[in-house]
Parts: sequence; C-alpha cells; structure tokens
Amino acid sequence: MSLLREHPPWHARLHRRLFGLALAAKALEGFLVGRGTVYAGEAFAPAAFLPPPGSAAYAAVLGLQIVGAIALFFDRAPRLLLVAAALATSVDTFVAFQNTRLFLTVMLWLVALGPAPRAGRRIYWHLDATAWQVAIVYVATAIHKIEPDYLSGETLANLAHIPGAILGVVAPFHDPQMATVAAFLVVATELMLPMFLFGPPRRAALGITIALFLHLSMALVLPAVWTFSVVVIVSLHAFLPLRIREKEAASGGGALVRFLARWSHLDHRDFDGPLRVGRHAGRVAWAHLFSAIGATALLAEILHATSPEPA
Amino acid sequence: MTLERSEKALRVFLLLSLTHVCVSLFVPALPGWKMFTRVERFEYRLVDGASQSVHLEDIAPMPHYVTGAASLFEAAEWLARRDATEVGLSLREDGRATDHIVSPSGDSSVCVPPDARPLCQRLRGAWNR
Repeated sequence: MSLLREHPPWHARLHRRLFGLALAAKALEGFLVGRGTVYAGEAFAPAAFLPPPGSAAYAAVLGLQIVGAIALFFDRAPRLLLVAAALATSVDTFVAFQNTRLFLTVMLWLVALGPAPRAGRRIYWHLDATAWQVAIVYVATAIHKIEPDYLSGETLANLAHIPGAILGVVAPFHDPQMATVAAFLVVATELMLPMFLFGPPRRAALGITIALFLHLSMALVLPAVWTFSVVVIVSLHAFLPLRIREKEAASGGGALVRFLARWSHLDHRDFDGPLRVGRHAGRVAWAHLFSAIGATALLAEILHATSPEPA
Repeated sequence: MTLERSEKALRVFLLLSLTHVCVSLFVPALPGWKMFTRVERFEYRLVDGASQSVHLEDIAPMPHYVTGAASLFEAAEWLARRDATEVGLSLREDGRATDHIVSPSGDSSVCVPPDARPLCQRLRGAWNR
C-alpha cells in the first residue's frame, strides 16, 4: 500500500513560501534577542549539545538561514541553498537546544530534500512526510503526558503560573477540577487529531480547523514557543482533502483569493475548494467548540459536586 | 524523482521518526516530543559572586519558559564558571525556600541555617527584594 497522496503544485509552493517566512522570522527573532552572544560564549545556552562555536559561526548560520528563506520563494532555487540552510538550522538547534527548534529543523530538512513545485508534478513525498511528522508529534506528546502528574492537572496548573505565559491569565487552571478536565481533554485531542487529519475529507477539514484553533490559541497563551505552532499551521495544508477540492465547482473567489492566487502564480479557482472546506469546517468547529466547552463545564461541575468537602 | 524513490524516501523518514520517538520514550536524556509534559512550580533567586541578583533572561537571551529546576542549576553552574566564583541559587516551592551554593565545577551545597557564608546570607535576604 502506498503512503503517498497526490498534491497539486500549489500545495508544495505555498508550503515552501510560508515555511520561508517562518524560517526568516525565527532567524530575525534570534538576531533581535541576541543569540549571537550564545555563540560567542557570553550567554548561557540551555541543554547545549555543541560548545559555543563563535560569533563568525553565528554570522554564517544567520546568513544561510536568511538565504535559505529567500530561496524558498523560488521554485528553481538551487537545492544546495536549502540544504545549507537546513544544516545551519541544525547547528543552531544544537548550540542551544529547544524542542521547538528541533521541530523546525526536521521540517526544514524535509522541505530541503523534497522535490520543488513543478507544473504537472503531483507527488511531493516531503508533504506526506510533513503530515506524518505532525501526527507522530501529536501521538508522541500525548503518550508522554499519560502519567499521573500530568493527568492530575498539576502540570497545567504549574504551566499557568510560569512567568510570561499568558496561559495563567486566560485559563482557570488554579481550579484543580478544571485543570484535571483540561489535562484529559489535551491528551484526548492530541490522540484524536491524527485520526481526524488522516480521515475522509470532511473529517480532515474538521481536524485542520481544530488544529488551527489549538495552535493559534497556544501561540497566544505561550508566546515564547510560537515556532512550534507556526510550523504546525504551515504544515496543516499537507492534510487538505484534495478530493473535496477537486470535486467543488469553481467560483469567482474574493479579493483574498485573487491576491493569494497572484502571489502563488495560480489560477484563483485552485483556492475555491480549500476555502469552501474551510467555511464548512469553521461552522462545524464552532458547534464542536461550544459542545466541548459545555461538556467541560458539566464535567467540572460533576467533579466538584462529588469531591469531598475539605475538613 | 520516480514514484518508487518517493515512496522509499517517505518510508525511510517515517522509520527514522518513529525510531526517534520510541527511543525517546525510554531514554529521558534524548530530546523527544515532550512539550510541557512536566512543569515544576517554583520561584527562584539567582545571585552572582558579587551578590547581585541575576535573572535567567539576562544570561540566556532566548524566548523560553523555565519548566524545571535542572535548567536553573545548569545556568547557575555556567554563571559560576564564567565568573570563576561561587554563585547562589534559591528555589522556593510551596512557600519554602532552599538555598544552594553552586561552584564553578558544578558541585552544589545547601545552606543550612545559621550558615555564615556570605552568599547564604545574601540568598536569605533575596526574597525580601
């Protein structure tokens, strides 16, 4: 059985360009916060796997990342530039390690090694690999979370108290029952999402919408780890249900569609399907979201009512 | 790239990715997809050899969250090595503070009151600021 799915060239092209933006943003962020001082050995590098390689190495890494990000905007850019950017990002990740950087690095290697978009080409193995990697990360992180501390809600409650995490302001995790329910919901969502994303078109569209909501929220409440959410969001269209896209009849499309089409050198009708799917999924997602909030509140109420009164 | 080679590339990648996940489940030191799986709740005060308070953000310029005391000990050790002097690290959990002195070699000792070492005395006062 083949694991490959067909993708139109615009999938690969849009993926490259959005990924290029994410890579450039990450490089710029590193420059602005003074990542060069970590390379120079003047600042602490958490969980470093490599010794500080020096300021010249940082200049090279930054330059290769920016060049790689620009190259992602050109279908015919030499692959060597992308491989060099992926190598530089690997070095960057191991100089001062963070999971979010590792995720960015893995995904960048896939883009660098995958085929460039070309008219008529329908197989882009790196997009399938990207989709599988997102699913693997969801399941792996859920498995890691199936342990007493997390499921008791303690971890979420503690996370809400981390300085700088807006999570504590928006989520009532100081309530132990609410934190417990939220912890179970997080694990359930992470386990269920791959099944939705790899499901039939309508279920996949719902999965994409839930993932979008999840990661936009995560990027807002835990801003320091925005890279992870942004890379997942960029990767989500690898799951776009192609059959629906092709089945949908073409319509005129709005200003945004025409702009995106021009930007990607595409016929605006290429966007009709995904947008229609998105509108449909949006309506379904809202219904599910309100149901989930209602169910959470109900469960919290039951837990609260059945918990023993403090002495 | 032929269909067969694309299929092979995808399968090799999946094999590598799944191997990484399986190994990381059993080898805690290996970086895995453990996003916020464990978050400890504590506050800290870090004091350098000159008795000046240091924030982690000042010495680690990158957007991240401190989710465990281990990274603070690493940071304290780095600071001690950089300044070639002992530094103080106080961790407060559930309202109770434990003060540690970290040496450039990475060894740490706990301040036991009444501890006359200047850094221990400085750490005791650090929470009042």
